[in-house]
Amino acid sequence: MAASAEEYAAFEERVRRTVYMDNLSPQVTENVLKAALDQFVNVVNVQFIPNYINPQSLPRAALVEMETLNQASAIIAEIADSPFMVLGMPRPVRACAAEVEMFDSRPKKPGRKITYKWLDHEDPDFEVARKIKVLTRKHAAETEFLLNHQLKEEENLANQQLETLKAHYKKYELIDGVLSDNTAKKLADRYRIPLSDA
Amino acid sequence: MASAEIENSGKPEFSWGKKRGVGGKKKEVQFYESFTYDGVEYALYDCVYLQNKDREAEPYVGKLVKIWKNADNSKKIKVQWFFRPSEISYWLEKLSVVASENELFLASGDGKGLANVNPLEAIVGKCFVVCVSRDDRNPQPSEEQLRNADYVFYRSFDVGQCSILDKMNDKVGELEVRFVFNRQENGIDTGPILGSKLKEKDSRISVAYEETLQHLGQQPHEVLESIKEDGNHSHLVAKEDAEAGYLLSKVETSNGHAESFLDHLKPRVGKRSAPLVDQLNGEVTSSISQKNNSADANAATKQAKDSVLPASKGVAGERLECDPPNLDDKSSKREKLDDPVKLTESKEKINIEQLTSNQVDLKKSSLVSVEEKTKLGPRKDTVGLDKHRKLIKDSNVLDERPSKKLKVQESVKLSEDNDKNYLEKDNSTTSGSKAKGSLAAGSSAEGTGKAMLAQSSSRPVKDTKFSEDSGALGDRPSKKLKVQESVKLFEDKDKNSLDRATTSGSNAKGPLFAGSSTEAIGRAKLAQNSNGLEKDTKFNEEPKALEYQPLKKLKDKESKSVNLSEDKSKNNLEKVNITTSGSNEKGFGAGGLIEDKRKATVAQNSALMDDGLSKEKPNGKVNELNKTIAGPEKIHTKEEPGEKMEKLSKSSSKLDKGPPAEMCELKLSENSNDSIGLENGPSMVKPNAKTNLLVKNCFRSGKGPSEEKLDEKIRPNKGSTKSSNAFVDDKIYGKIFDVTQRPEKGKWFKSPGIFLERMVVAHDEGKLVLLQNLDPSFTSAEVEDIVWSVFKETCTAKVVQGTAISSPFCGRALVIFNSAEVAERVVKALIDGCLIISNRRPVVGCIANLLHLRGKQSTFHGHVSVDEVDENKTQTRKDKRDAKSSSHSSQSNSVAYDLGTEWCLLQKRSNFWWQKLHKAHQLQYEELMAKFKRNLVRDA
Repeated sequence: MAASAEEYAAFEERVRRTVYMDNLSPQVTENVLKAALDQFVNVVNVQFIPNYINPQSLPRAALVEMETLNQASAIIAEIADSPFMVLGMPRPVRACAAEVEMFDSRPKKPGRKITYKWLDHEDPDFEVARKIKVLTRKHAAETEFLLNHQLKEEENLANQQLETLKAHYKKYELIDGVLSDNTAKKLADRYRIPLSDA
Repeated sequence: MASAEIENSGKPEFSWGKKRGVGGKKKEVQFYESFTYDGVEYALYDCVYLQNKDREAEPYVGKLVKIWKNADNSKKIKVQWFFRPSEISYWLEKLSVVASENELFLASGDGKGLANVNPLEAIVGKCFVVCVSRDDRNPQPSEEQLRNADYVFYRSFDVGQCSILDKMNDKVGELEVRFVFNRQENGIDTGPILGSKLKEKDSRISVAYEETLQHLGQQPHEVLESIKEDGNHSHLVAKEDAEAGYLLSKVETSNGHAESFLDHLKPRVGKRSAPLVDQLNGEVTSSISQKNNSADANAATKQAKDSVLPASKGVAGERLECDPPNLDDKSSKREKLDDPVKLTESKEKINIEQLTSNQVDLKKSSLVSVEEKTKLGPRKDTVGLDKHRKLIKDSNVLDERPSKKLKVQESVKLSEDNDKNYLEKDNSTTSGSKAKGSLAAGSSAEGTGKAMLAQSSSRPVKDTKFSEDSGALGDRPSKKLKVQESVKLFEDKDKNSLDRATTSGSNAKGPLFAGSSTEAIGRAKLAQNSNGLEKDTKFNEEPKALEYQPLKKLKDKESKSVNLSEDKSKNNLEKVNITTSGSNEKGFGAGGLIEDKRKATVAQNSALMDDGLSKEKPNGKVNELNKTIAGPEKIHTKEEPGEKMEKLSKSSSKLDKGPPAEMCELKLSENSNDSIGLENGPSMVKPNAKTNLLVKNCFRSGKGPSEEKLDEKIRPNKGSTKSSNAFVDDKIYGKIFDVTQRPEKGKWFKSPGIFLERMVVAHDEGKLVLLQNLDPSFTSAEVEDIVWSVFKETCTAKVVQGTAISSPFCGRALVIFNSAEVAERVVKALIDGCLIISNRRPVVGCIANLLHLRGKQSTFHGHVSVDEVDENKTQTRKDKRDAKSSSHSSQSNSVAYDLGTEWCLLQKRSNFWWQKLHKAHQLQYEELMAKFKRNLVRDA
């Protein structure tokens, strides 16, 4: 028992050193993430959180274990401070402190004893329990809805930004074209504007 | 491969135990008596799990017979194998031996497959196998041991001769028999524990075998005699032809109905049952067409039936009266439960003979089937009584039940004023006498079904099924009664009381009505024989009406009664009620019977086709048709009540959907029974559970996706749940159990990469279950332990890892079960019952439906891919290209920064809404929990 308590303490320490990151592109691999963060901190371990039950279009999330506690908090601060983009632009990643529940392989909480019982149908609690079960389902549905909503929002934003970018691009194209085919020069001559740096 | 994995997770500790001796040419081999591996001590003759090559499959089970270390330090074990029934199913089948689910067969004899030498590292874990042999030399296991046992065994499988041995010789394989049996020290504290279920079961197995032989020898004569007697009796009871008539009419209507039924069937069937339905369809249609062809023959047989049926009815009644004495004896001993089954077996044989010999026998066979019916009826009684421990007087059996019925009815009356009082009174008065008739009627269906079964073939599998059914029959009624009582308790509660009373009514009456509705319909049809269309519609309407009743409660009931009376006046009603009241059990029994019938019809259809005897054809066909028809009809009507209970407040469309799906499921279950039948064997308990479960499954399938309606579903479920929740013994309600650690099955099952793969497969096979509302801090292993403790099922569980957007207070886990059946059973149990973990959380379970598992991640919004624009030209493009190769914090003077900020804004917003949602959820949740906890604390 003592051993497992120790083990759990070690695990908790590990949790504190770990940063949860999401909004990661699916192309991000462990190496990419390590390389991206190496400019700030020493990454010990990267673990992606598998997405079993949510829509696949949900961005990936990862647990990044740092060498020290300070590094972990530093990276969180850094990422919150300015948009940090990994393997793509402009969507930045997001970081926050990791929590115990995020870990896949975690030791059992020491000293916990789990019990179970089947509620009798006549038990007044049965009704309550039933309501809770319904509520759980309802919440799950709501969560799913919100998640879809979020994905939608993200898509909208992405599309909107793409539009903006395209507009920018067009603008630059135009200017480029005007400069390269001498139209600009002709126009300058016509209006007698010196084109000093053309 | 095992060792490779083990190395991954750190080499498990190992140490040798007691030395034994040395061997080999140069004394280089050291034998041991025990060793410790991965923290578990193993000794010689322990049973262990060994890793199966196929990791998906269950590990092998073997007995350590030798442990040694070679000169090269390699650790070896020699194991004598246990076989799972599935592994030797070929021979089991051949020898018509049946085995229960957790039964193993010890390898014996001499030959390949007896034992093998394996590396010690192949051990996955310890396996607790208990020998339940009645052998004097075997220290009988204690109740607790039996409960904890992973497996039991008492027979061995001779690997040389490929046969099952019921007795252990002095030497089993290379093993002395004393090492085969339980260890002495374990056995000391045990005595004969008859209360233990396992024991019961096993004793039944063994006893059943011995008795089978005897009965097979004796019974046929008796039956023949009784047939003759019955013939005489039949005249006396001819007056009851009304009742008999309904059967006939049913047949007729069902012709039309069967078709409509088919129509219903197709669209509604879930994908899983689809093929089965198709099959069924085919068969039904074929039988229908046959019927059409042989219309005249039909008419003729009808007449024949007319005469036969009343007779049989009467016989049934008579038989009922005669039987109790026999039953008395039977009910006194548990083992005797098997007797009726055997009787039916033997009778079936007779049936076969008769059927094949000549046409006249047709009549006889129906008599025989009546015989069977009566036998079945009584059997139900006995079982029911047995269960209730009211065994005292057999003759009172019938009386007793009606009286209970009466109580329920009265309670209903109380809430219902009195419109129907007279009806009910009639019921009560008549119930005593008519119950018999109805019983017979109900059972007649079964009887016929069985007769057909017999016709089709006499494979042992079917016998097994019968025994199952009979078990099921026994089970259900008694529970039903309890349920009714509990319903009464509820009555004085709140506004619900009325509903419940109704429920009780429907509980009690539901089946009755169902049963009765058929009757009524049948009669109505008799009246309207000519008008096929009308019949069909009527028939269709009625069940529906029945379905609605519970929904609309009392009023509906009344209206329903009106419905019925429309058809044939209250006479019908009375009779119906009587049927029901007299035969609570029957009603429910009928539910179980359906299976039989169906099987029978199917089997028969095919059998008949094959037969092709020109003479018998018409009659046979008609018969068959009758039965076929009776099958679906019965199912329709009978199942609905069950469904009603389940779905009370579900929408009508749902209800409509229900039955066919159920049927298919039922079919499914039958089929599975077919295949599993051998394994299930005569051990009554198991099959019961199985059938129950199957029935449950059916209900579930009917219930479909409306999980939101759970709310309503559960209340009506009360009745059916209790009777069907196989995991939940009445005894354990409300008691708190510790979750114990499941025997370690090896760590390599858990590696994460494999899990996703397995999950996808499991998802496709329907064995993936999503558990919700767990404590978020549970680990995967703890979830597995919970599942193991609660359901005694092994599984692979994976806690869904938390993310920034997952609920902070509600944990989820994905659990892969060994089969879809198990998964469904678990889910069903969780839906019907209420499993509270650690006195806090009721677990929610559902079959995981993860459509998105298909395919790869589609898109990731928010990263502008460079290909979208020609990147060679502008400054922005260049920036982009650079950005792609490196990750960076964006500078505030770039376009990317602006865009990135927008994303940050969205992230903040998302954060905010998730927080808000979770907070709201938590509030709602805690509000409920507050109520909950109070009670729980008080309980504790």
